[in-house]
Amino acid sequence: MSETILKVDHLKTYFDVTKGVFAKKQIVKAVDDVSFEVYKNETFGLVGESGCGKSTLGRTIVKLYEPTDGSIEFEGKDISKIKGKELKAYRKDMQMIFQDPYASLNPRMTVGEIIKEPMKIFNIYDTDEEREARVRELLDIVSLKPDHIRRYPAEFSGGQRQRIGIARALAVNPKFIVCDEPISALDASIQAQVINLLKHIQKEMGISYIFIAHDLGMVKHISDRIGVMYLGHIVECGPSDVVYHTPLHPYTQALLSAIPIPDPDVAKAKQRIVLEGEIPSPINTPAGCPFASRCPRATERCRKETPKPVQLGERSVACFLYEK
Amino acid sequence: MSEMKYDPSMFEKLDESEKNDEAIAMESKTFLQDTWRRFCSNKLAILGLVVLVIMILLAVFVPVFSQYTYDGQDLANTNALPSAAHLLGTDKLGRDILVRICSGMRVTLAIGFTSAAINLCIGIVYGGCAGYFGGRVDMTMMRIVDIIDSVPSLLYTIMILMVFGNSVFSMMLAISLTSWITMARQVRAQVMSLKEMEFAMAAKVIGCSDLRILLKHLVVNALGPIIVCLTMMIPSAIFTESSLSFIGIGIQPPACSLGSLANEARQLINTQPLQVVWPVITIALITLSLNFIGDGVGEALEAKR
Repeated sequence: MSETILKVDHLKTYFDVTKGVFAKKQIVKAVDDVSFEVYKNETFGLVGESGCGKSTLGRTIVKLYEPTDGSIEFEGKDISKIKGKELKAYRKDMQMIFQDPYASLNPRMTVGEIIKEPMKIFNIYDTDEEREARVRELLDIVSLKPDHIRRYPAEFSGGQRQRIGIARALAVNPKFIVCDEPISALDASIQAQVINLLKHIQKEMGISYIFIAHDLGMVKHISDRIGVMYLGHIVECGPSDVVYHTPLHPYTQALLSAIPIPDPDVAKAKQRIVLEGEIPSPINTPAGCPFASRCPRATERCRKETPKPVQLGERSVACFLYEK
Repeated sequence: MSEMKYDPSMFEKLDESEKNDEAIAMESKTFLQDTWRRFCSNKLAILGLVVLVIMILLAVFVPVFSQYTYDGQDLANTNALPSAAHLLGTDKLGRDILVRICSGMRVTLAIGFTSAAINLCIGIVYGGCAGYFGGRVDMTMMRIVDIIDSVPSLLYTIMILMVFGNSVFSMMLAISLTSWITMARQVRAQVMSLKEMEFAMAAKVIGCSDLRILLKHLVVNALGPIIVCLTMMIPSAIFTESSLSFIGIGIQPPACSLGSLANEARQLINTQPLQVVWPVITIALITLSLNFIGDGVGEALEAKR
């Protein structure tokens, strides 16, 4: 296996949502004790329902949120508490592509200004001509036209905007990009366009990705390894083929059974696991396995103790069913 | 299932024109051009702009080129009705009303625009910081604002005029000192909602400093509401000035503002009602045109997404 570029270790991101001075303390455990590794040049997919903390995890990794506890090691260096100059240097290596292409571009700046801004901040080129040339090059990479440079974001379609966002992320030649649901706001034909562009860029430039999505099928297509999140925890994590074809954790099994199959005959034969109940509130979560309240195979023990991840070959599962 | 038939024509090279499918037909415009174009499509706003420009030109040039001065008395010719010599007539001391109104407009407009500019600066910095940093900073800053706001603003104004004397400068100071609060609240609200947008996060991820995010990404996008608030502020500053002068603690004679002119004329309202009408119409015209302009600019600046 190739070398580790990002190592997340027992990461916790909590938010204090207590209202008023005398109210009872309320903590949202958005990311609760998450550990995983991402290797160089690979794509790590993160899936889960909305509200399970996958976006918070992504934003904590790019340091938009401060982690409450645990560490994030990037190229062997703990970046969970860095500030100032060090943080700026980290930002140059770690970029992000956002979910909503209609909200992630400043409507007051032209495409050229948007892509040029990170170069200016990091002083990558000496003259404006060089920067301009690089912008044209980047526009070409994301297959937009060089004369789009003076246009405003409002003049572009969703897919085009997402590609502008990708060009902005690439402007500083990062080593790692966190893609926060980059395709969920796009329609299916455009999704393929963006996914293929991301794959192409990875092959050309050797960038590692964390790819966040709620669509397991799409994540499987792009990822080398997958982590399945539920209520702030990673419940199953392993190579995408293995997780996709032989899911072990009851939650992964339920999630996979929900993927629509484009063949009605096969779809009829397949049994859908329908989960009972709602995803519990992440505020003051009860003890035990986070999935216990909805799990069809939960036991008394699941409600009392939190299962530790069990290593089974290349994958890990956080479930008592697989404890040796 | 029947076998698919493939026609060789399906595999021919695409036309060269297909390469242009990413092109945008609309002509490329800069931000100012686009804003101006949208502003021009609003007829009322254009009318307001024309009226305001005429008013400003009158205020600047009439006192310069007229044969009369604002304090030149002609006691032989008092309370004259409008005539060819005095277009709007003369007041009780025989001073030309047109010249007095125009120089009054100078004072009033100067106070209005300057205090609005001061408000804008303080409001953006204060409200921007409170909204951007949020949490305790916001809490502390906004409570200070609430405290300032809890004392009637007329009280501050009168106190400052007492301390610094009745000059145009102290008038500007007095008006700005309390009315920036509205602007600060407006900017804060805008910044608070905009900072949650993904482009603000994107700016952070590409390493922008807090100041740069605040000014280049947040305030710029809040310009529409800020301009509307600003243009509402100029009339309110003009009103404050006028009412202070009206109750006699503002601009002192022989200098005049629109408010003090209305006050002087009020004493003769029973015998010379026309003299009240002129300053009042002027105030109304300025206020109305500013409101129209504000609406127009606000709409034209509304961000397209």
